[in-house]
Amino acid sequence: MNSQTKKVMVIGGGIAGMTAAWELARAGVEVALVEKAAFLGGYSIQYACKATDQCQQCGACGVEKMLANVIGEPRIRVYLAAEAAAVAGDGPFTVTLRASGNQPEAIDAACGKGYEKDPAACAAARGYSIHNAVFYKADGGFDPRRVAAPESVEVDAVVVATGFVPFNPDEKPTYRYRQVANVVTGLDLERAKRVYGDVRRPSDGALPKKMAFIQCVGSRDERLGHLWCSQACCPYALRSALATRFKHPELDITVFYMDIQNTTNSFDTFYEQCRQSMRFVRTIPVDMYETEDGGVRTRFMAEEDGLPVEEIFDLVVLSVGIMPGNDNPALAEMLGIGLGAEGFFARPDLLNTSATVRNGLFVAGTAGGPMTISGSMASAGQSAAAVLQYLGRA
Amino acid sequence: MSEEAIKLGGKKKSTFMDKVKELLPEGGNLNLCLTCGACSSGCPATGLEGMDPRKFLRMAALGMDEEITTSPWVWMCTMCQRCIYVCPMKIDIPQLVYNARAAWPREKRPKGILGSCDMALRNESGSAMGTSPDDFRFVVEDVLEEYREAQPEFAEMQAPIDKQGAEFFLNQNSREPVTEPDELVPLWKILHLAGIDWTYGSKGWGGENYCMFLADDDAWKHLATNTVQHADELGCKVYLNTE
Ligand SMILES: Cc1cc2nc3c(=O)[nH]c(=O)nc-3n(C[C@H](O)[C@H](O)[C@H](O)COP(=O)(O)OP(=O)(O)OC[C@H]3O[C@@H](n4cnc5c(N)ncnc54)[C@H](O)[C@@H]3O)c2cc1C
Ligand code: SF4
Ligand code: SF4
Ligand code: SF4
Ligand code: SF4
Repeated sequence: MNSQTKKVMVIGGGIAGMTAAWELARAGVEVALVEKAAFLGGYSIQYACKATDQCQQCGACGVEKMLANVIGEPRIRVYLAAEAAAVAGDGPFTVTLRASGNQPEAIDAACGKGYEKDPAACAAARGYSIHNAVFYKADGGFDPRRVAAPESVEVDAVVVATGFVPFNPDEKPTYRYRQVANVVTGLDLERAKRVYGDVRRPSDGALPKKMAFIQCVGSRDERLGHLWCSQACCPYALRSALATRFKHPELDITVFYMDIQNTTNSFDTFYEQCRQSMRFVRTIPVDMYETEDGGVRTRFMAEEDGLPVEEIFDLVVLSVGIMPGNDNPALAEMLGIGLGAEGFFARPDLLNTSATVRNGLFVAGTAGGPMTISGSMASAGQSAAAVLQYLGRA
Repeated sequence: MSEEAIKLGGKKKSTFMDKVKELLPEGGNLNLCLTCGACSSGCPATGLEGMDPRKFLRMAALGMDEEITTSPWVWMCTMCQRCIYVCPMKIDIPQLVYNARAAWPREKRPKGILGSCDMALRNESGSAMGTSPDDFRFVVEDVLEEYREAQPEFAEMQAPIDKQGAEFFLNQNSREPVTEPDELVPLWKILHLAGIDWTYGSKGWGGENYCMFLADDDAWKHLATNTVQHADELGCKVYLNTE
């Protein structure tokens, strides 16, 4: 057993990176957590709670909790707005860092000089969580004592947890995202709920009366080269729909789908609950038109009566899926680890899915493929265990 | 040594869809359907004759060849390819439709399309309206003269027919010279202002190809060959299909 303190770099501070960092720190390892954005938490810190009168186990609050853990853990050193520029050596590694150029978002009127005035909106402007506040000074800029990165760091192992990007609906132009105001993505919906605490139409801020979710946007699509199921978008859309319905029982919700991904143990009861409170249509609509009062008119095939139907919705949510991160090709090249055909980091060992082709380099979370928050946490746990084994600590 | 795939069960009866798959690159992806219905949502022919593209493909996949090759819906498909465009699996439904059309006895195919194809075969213009090369030349020259006089800024505008060595060979829907001659002019103006060296052909100027819509491959080929050969004889480099 090695008594010398080991040091590990985790690249990417989303739920996977934070979980890996925390697990490693708890095992006595020093961690350098390098995050490109101006805040910790990745995408999943931007989501709203989806509880009805009961917790629906969406996992979002677990991210908040993990963020608090990481901030309170002295063995984790966080470098924000930083990225790895080069990695030298075969373990130990010398990682050169550089600034990513991402700065904290400008503080808007809601935020003023602190979080007090409008905590929710301010948290959104500054990293989506009050826990990220420790990284900023009162004027909104970074606190250099907390986040400034050195030029290079010596580490014994590296965990790649750089996550994913949500599908960009511009690649499916008939949905006319960005052109029709009330066509939004699942991510837009989550962010808005996190900021305003409720569902709002972008065009006028009104509560929608009739809402639609379109599933599988960007996933399961040979044309785009995305044959995978993204795993997360059925659960997030259905939970979000159910929570919104619970809050506004008069709201009319339609879910357009081709398949529903079964992701939880209690899925059957959950799905039954969904079926009772919303309409499921097994057809994907494709064309969106804006009506004069901001409605979204679309057409779809009603299978039961074999006729095309036109309907107008106040808000259409595109359930965008999980796509390989934008940095994957450059990172894979820089780190000397390959990408799989789909563009996620290759994990050649079926029994140890956190291992890459290079000793000492590991993958965690959606960097390796589509998964949910709990899946990402489990994957990060496996990575941390594999790192500890590699370091001779387990 | 090459490995033989293990075959389960007896040999399946070859269906209409199997035959179409053999004709298409990558089988037209015909067996990759996710039944998502995007094609039907976007198709202008959805709901006509109780049919829509998803249902049509399903029926073909289930081997319902009789229904597929007799449904009049195949004649309502506009061949617009919108279904392919929105299909996540790029499935070539119009090709399936096309082949289902071809399975119809020629004389049973819709009168309008059939008549238009037959008409086009009867004249060198390739015109479904039956407009002869001479009539076409007369209309073009007449309209050109009128515009050159009425609009001095277009006094130099050309609308040549059979100009040897022009860069672009242009065809023309033959409805316009007959019913809406003024509609010919906007494109001439654009080509004039852009300084394009172009020509019509006296042979094969008719751009509509009803024989294609009729799924009559031989006649379609005849019309296409006629016009392309003429463009070649004139030494044109680019064939501009306006249809
Ligand atoms: C709209 C939407 C809603 C969802 N809702 C739910 C839900 O309710 N429940 C659920 O379980 N799952 C949900 N998911 C899935 C969930 O978002 C993911 O499982 C989770 O965020 C994955 O975490 P991650 O850490 O792997 O990736 P990310 O969240 O992408 O985090 C990766 C981090 O790495 C950083 N990074 C990227 N590149 C670099 C680099 N080169 N250098 C340094 N840092 C870098 C990023 O800035 C980011 O902070 C949802 C997904 C979407 C799209
Ligand atoms: S619904 Fe999600 S965010 Fe809300 S309490 Fe449950 S797990 Fe947490
Ligand atoms: S999770 Fe659901 S919406 Fe997402 S790709 Fe899979 S089936 Fe489609
Ligand atoms: S859009 Fe494509 S995959 Fe979807 S039902 Fe139509 S043919 Fe099948
Ligand atoms: S090509 Fe035919 S089936 Fe496809 S969308 Fe157009 S009309 Fe419909």
